[in-house]
Amino acid sequence: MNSSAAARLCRAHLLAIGPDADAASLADVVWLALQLTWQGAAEPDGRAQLDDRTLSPADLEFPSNREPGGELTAPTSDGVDRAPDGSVPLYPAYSRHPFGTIGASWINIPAGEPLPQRLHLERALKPFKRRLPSRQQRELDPIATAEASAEWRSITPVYRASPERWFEVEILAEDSDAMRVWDATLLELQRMLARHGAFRRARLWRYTLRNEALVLSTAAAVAAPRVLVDPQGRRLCWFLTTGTSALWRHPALSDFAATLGRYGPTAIVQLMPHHAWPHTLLGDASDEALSGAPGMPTARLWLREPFSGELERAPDALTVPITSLEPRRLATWARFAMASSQVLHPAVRLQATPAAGLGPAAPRVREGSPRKRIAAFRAMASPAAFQLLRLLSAMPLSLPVMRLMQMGMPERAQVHLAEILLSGLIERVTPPGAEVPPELVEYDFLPGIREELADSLTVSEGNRIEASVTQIAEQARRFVEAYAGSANTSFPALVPDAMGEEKVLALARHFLHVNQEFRSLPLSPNPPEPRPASPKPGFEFLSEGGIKKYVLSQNSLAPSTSELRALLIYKTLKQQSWLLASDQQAILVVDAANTRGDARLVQRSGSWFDMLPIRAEAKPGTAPIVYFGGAGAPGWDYSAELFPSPSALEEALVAMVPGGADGAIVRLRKLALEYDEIRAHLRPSPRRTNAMQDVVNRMANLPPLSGLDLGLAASNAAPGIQLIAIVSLQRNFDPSQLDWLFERITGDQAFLAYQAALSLQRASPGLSKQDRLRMQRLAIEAKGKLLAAGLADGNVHSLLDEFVASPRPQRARIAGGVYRRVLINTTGWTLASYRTHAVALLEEFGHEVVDEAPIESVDQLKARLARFATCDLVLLLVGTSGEYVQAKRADPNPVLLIELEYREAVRVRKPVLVMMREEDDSESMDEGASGQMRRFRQMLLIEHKVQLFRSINQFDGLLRRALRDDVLVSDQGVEQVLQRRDTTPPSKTGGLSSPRQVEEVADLLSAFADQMHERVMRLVRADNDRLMPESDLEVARILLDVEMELRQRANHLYTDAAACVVSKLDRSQQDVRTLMGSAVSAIAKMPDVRGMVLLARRLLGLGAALATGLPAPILDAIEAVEQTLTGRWQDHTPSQPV
Amino acid sequence: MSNWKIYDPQLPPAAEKRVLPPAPPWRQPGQGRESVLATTFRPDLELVDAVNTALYLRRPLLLTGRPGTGKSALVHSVARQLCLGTVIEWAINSRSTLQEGLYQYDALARLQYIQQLNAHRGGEISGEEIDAREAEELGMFLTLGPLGTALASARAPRALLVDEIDKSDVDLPNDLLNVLDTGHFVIPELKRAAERHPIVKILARDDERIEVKRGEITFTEYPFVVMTSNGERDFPAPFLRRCVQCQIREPNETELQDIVAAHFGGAAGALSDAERQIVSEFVKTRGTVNLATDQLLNAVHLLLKSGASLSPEDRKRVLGTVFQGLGG
Repeated sequence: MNSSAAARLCRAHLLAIGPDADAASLADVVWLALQLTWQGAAEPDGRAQLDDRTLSPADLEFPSNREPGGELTAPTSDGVDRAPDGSVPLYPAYSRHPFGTIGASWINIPAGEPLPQRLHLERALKPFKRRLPSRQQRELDPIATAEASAEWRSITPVYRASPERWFEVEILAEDSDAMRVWDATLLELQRMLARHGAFRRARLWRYTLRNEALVLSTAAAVAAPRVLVDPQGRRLCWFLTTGTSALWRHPALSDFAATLGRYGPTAIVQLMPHHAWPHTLLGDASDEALSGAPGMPTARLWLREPFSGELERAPDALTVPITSLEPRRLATWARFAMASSQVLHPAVRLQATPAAGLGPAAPRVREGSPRKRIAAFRAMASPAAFQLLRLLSAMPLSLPVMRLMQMGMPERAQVHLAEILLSGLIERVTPPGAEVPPELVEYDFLPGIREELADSLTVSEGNRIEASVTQIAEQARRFVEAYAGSANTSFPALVPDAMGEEKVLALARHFLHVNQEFRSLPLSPNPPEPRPASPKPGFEFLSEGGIKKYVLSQNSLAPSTSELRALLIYKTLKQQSWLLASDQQAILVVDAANTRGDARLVQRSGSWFDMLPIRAEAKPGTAPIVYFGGAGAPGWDYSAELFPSPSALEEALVAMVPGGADGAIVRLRKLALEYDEIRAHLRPSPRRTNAMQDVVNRMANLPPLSGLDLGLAASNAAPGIQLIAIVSLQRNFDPSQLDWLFERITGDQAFLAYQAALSLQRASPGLSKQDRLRMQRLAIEAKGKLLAAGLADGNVHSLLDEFVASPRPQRARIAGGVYRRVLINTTGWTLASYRTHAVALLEEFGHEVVDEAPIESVDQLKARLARFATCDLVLLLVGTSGEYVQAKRADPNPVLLIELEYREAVRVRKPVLVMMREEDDSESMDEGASGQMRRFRQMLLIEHKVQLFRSINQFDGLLRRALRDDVLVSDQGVEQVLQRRDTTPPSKTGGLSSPRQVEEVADLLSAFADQMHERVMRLVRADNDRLMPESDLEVARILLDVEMELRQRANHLYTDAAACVVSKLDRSQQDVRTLMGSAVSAIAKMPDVRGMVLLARRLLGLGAALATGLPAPILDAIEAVEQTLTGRWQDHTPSQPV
Repeated sequence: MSNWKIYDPQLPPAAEKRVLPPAPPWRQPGQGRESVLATTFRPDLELVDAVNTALYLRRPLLLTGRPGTGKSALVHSVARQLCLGTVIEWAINSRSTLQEGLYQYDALARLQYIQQLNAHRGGEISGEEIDAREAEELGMFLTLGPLGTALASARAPRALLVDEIDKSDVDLPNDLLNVLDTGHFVIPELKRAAERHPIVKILARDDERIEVKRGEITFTEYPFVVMTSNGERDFPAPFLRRCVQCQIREPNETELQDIVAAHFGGAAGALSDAERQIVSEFVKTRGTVNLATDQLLNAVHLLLKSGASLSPEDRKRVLGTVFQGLGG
């Protein structure tokens, strides 16, 4: 039934009349069906009919007259990223990039309406259709003529003034970059007004300030403002504005408005929605104007005194009625302007003189965190605008894209776009003043906004908005597909096309996926049709070299420069088939007359993972066939004359794989097959998991693949090959695969999910800030999906929690009267008195103390560790002996509880304050039991900033200072410096090779000096109660001197960074940084004051060496620092001051 | 190389009027052009469906599409296929009114006519004769407009092209549909005289004379109405519901080749390589600017059919001139 002509016609008509068809229209459809049936059109016709969708209300939104089955497209072998449903992405025009990797060509995409709700706006302006007797045009008055003729007994024509359109409209807009955005809207408005029928003409003027005077210009001419004065008062002047221009405070503009208003009606048309008016320079419409007659000049309106309500004549024309491009408001204004009775209308008072002290205030706050700014926007914006913003958060921003997305929204209004553009969340990327049409200007969200938009919602809210956003994008896609090629206006975009002349970066954002066939409309070449193979006379096969040359010329194939190997596998009079191999992929080439004619010699290309295993078959009676790839791969003919046995061919082909039969690729592929086997044949059990883990270990043990194209492996659907990609990512991470990895996590294969999460965990410390944010967002999404699907692998979840927590290092301070929840953990009863003291002190400072019950079971341990997530600060009191617990039920080795807690606190990124009791000589630690404790203490001293105490007095002082004196809980000096890592990519060779890197080291020198200073001061103060030995005082003085010198060195490096760049240093920047970082942490916790002097001097030496800019002394100095550091921590002999 | 330029300031002026090379078929004035439009038009399947739907349902067909996609050519093609006679065209602008589409009454001319008549003759004609003459004279100064003709024509159904209805005044579309829905319209000037002159013959388009009975025109068969729009106006939903809508999309490469073949190919219908090349250049240019199919035909005519042989630079320049973007 679906395939009959009758059904086709009826469906098309039903789609066209839309969802709110009336009875008559529906009757039409029935009639049509009956008529067609009688005419015999209900029989299925031969035409392919792929459009078997059932009608849903969504289908009725846009009339889609095009049949998706109409055209066929070429099978894609160009390697372009293509969604499985056969859709292609669209990129905005500005994503063109000379170094892009994706071939692309131009395509015209139907543009969204620049002026939404046109029809409603036209209706709103209907009051202006009243005609006015013309002063020039006259016409015959038939009735008067008849009467006059009767009176005078002869024909006496009588003329009257013919009615003519009342007004002409002048649209006035400021000539600025900010208003250029509205060019299309203004032009469309002008066109709409000119066409409306109510106005004699509509003109668009732009005004600008030149030499303190206002100048008007159109596209063609420049004019003085007075040309707009019409003494007859039949000119409507509209100021189109967003009310944010400082010009509104300039007397030139208000004078202009006053002049115009003396003669005719003026109005301000706000592009911003009503609720945003108070935030603009024009301000809220707090005044009210009263009109009594149609077309009254602004200066003759009556004004209502806002407090007394009394009416008074307008003293001038500076109180201007204000309206907007919302149909309702425009209609109100139109009724007001053409009212015969008295009607009130909101108006704004223009400031004739610049108000003192009021600068050109920015309409929106630009400070604050992204979250705050989004919240501020949300508080102010309309729901539709926020929805649109949300939708755009995943897209490249340009005006056409925004308008196009608006086409998908159920309610479209110009003001929504205005809200978004002026939200302060979006910035123009294209530099101002660039001669670029507004359609091609690139916009982007301010840093952090995109990410924040993604998680600024609660879950239920997020789901709801997500659903509607998807629907909008879907509608926009329908719009594009329905109007492609027929829309009146369009904008250029880029679509992937291997043959295209443009290039797009692989990282470019696309804004929409459209049906692939849509693309074939304007651009892509016709699909090749299988033609009978008839070698034309004179046809010559390409030689081996010719084949290679041809393949290399096809830039859609591997961009690799590796050498090509070729093997002839099939040979007849008509055709020759070749297998070409590079390090990344294999390419099957068929050289024959028909493929040559279509320029389609390359029949198949794929990564080696796709092509393996290779299996040849030679059954008697059939043509010998070779298969590339797993089950279901198509077979290829090969010539038995060339290869005597199938195994000979297999061997010859495998030898072409990089590395040969024993090479990594072949072995990896085998392991992947093994994994697939395990998956297929073993039931989920620990045994299966172990077997899989075994495969992973063996994969990891293979030598790393040099040129493995991850993208190719990742795009493969076979789980085994995906596992190869994951394992390879565990070893060598590639941030561009983040999304893919998260897809694996939410996939249905638990083992792959876990492995993917592991590789993310391994990679996360080295990720850039941006990638970390992305990872966090993806982790939240993934967690949501997993929960929704009821998949709860504990390991994966805990890893995901870690990702969610990781990108937010909290550098909390505990002073400043901020109320916090503090979790105290101690090592056993020996510190009980300190603990009590700490609780009292914390409560005295107004903090909440989370007291912990002793641990009796593993479950309690879990509950305890879970508490870490809810507190603001963890205070660890570390003594010399600790409790041991079993971390897992089955684990035979107890672990140190305090260590477990410390790790957990670090894992969830909570600030940790470690107070450690110094080792007492009398309190000997026995080796066996507290070996772990000793190791832990040492580790803490190295890794963390530790406050050492001996007595309860000292403890009290240290803790008080920590709480009151704003002592940083974590090593901020180091952290700040290490954060720079985010911006400087780690280079493997040659540290200090840029001024920036030199500055970084200078930073670290300063951080060292800071820490040293603090340490010295602590030393001097803490020992107030007892007399400080003279020798120690001496050391302190030396240290302060060294500190001064260090600072001078650092300053020198800052000012002269460029001169201190070292061209070839054998140490990487990373090395130097790590070394200095550990020096900084070491100085903070060295128990021995004298050791500090040596380290400080070594660093001073390094500073001096850096100033020379020569590699040799620097390397020496670095080594010296290194020795001092390691020497200090390996043997505990205190170093002597030098 | 022969000089292909007709106008060339370098050459001495011609002694006598220069004979121009033949015009492209679609640029012949009058009937010739229409028949070329009708015979070379290549509608796609959806358009054919839409036309059929409109014919079955007696609904007007609303065609939306870019300029130059053959919106107007469609109606000629349909009229030719169904022998609907000459297509009645009504070009709309923002001052067009329904009245103007229905009929025009030239009161002044009539007045003048009567004055002249009175001046020439006395009152010696019989009453009957006066009546007959008056009826004739009433009809002389009434002319049916395009819409009126399409509705009242004795050779119904006729094909009516309402061109660029999106340029109209905001109320016109609805007024138009009201007439089409009610099935009749009144000419008040005739209605007033209906007692004396129940039957008046008035002039319509194409010199057809139509008898109007009692000042009312009722019609029994709807004309086939095609309204074209460039998409510059949104139409009210009731209007859209009363039409059969169709989007004309721009032809793709294969369709363009068909069109070129239809115009130039002759009986064989095959395209030469040079023609194919121009088509593909056209498609390429269209990727960046808006082009109309006409421009492709112009290019083919200019480069291949005008008999001029051009150097590659000339060719490139000429193509550049022909393939100027239409903007928007």
